Amino acid sequence: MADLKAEIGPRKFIDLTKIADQSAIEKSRDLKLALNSKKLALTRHSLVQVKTALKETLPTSTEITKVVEKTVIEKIVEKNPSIDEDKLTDLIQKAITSTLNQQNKTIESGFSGIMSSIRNQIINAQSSPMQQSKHIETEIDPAKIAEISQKSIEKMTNQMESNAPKPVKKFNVVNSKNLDKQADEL
Amino acid sequence: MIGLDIGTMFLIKSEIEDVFNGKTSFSVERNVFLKTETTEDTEEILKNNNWTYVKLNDEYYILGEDAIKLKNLLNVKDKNDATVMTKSSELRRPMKDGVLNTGEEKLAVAIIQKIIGNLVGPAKEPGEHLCFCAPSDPVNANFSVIFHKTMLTNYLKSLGYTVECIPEALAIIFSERPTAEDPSEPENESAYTGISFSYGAGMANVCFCLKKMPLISFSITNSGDWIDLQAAKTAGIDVSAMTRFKEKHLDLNNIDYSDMRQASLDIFYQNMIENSLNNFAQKFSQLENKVDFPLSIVVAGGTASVPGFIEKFKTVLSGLDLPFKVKDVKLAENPRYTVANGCLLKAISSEKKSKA
Repeated sequence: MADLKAEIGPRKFIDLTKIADQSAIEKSRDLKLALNSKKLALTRHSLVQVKTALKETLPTSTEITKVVEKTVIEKIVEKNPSIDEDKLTDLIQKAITSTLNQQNKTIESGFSGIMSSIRNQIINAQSSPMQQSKHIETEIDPAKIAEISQKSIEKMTNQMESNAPKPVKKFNVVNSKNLDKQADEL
Repeated sequence: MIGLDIGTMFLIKSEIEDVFNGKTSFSVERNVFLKTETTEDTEEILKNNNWTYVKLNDEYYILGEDAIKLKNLLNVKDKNDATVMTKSSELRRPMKDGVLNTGEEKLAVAIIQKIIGNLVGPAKEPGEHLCFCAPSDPVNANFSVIFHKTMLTNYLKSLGYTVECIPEALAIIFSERPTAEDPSEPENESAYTGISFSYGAGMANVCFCLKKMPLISFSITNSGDWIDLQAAKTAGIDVSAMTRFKEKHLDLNNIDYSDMRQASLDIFYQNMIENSLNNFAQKFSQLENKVDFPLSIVVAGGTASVPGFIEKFKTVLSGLDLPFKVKDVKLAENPRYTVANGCLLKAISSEKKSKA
């Protein structure tokens, strides 16, 4: 608490009246902050107790490296003795390099593709009818189309429900010819 | 044995009733369907009325003639005989311009197969012969009929039939048996030699046949439906009203030119006939071996069934400069059914040959 010129260690008590007068204590901003943040607490006899956060001891970087190395060795390297770290590094490096190269090639080819497409369109627009390539059409066999269509139509007719067909009205016509004899001629 | 005329507007089946007396039976079904509103009572109503329907994914579709009946019940006509639509959907056609309407979703193809299946039924015995007709490749549209023919052939085979397909206009030749004078042939006549014109709803089909062999075969998409559409535009009325007027009132022998409807129909009928004759003339000129002898012309089809058609045809024919001689022009014995009859004859012939 700089404005009271007082310093309190963890789990220590201090009588502020011995350090500063009452009005200074009441006006102290640092004290108010410390009390609000609960780093300090007032006691019955104005003794101050300090609550401290649990000490966190972070491992040092060398310690981390040792643990990782140990884990890697135990879990990875020892379980897969064929893995060579240098080889692995080399592989990873190659993979990264090839990916980067692939990306670059894609960008390059895409760009050159776009350019050649634009070039071709310009050429075609300027070319004479004689220079244009012949459009080749392959004829589709209508009989084949009919066969395929019939299958899909059969599906539909199988789903159809209908009532029984009525007998269609017949009417007789007498031809002047003998049908049998005429059929023989055909 | 069955002959089957698969037309844009109608499907016609022919069967033998009495082969020696030439007695044939014909069954006709409309090639159309109508989607109905789906309610809790829909299925019950359809069953109670005995209307032919199919149900797919909770949607109901009424088929054939029943679709027309329901449509007519739901429509209200105004004083000009034009149709004011009430709450109903449009009639849908599984075929357009003489072939499967692939512009529609595949539902239309599934529906027409259902209609055909209801009409012909499964083969009475395995391998029963069935002959159906298909249009020839059109000269004024860019599509092939192979898809149409293959789809229908495969479906009919699945019903157990031995199936063959012939050009529509060739079926007329088989049915009507036109002849030409040919001194080299027995009885000085060459049978199944002549020109046939089949005027349907979707297409007009034309064939030149020499002794049963088709030398020219083509189609034009400007036929019955096209006439209705163009005449309706010219007269400024609804297409369906024009179709009804044509079917009920038109007589090409007796046109009142003060009536826009009659005048427009007359113009476009003439145009259709001219178009078909001019296209035929062009192809005839391109034949390698010239045909000098006079040829019979046979005309058939629903569009040719209006009164006065054959007179109109002859009038147009006489006004054109054609590269062939005409022996005679006649309307088929039964213009509406002659195609189916020709298919039946072919089926009978094939059956006999297979058993020989």
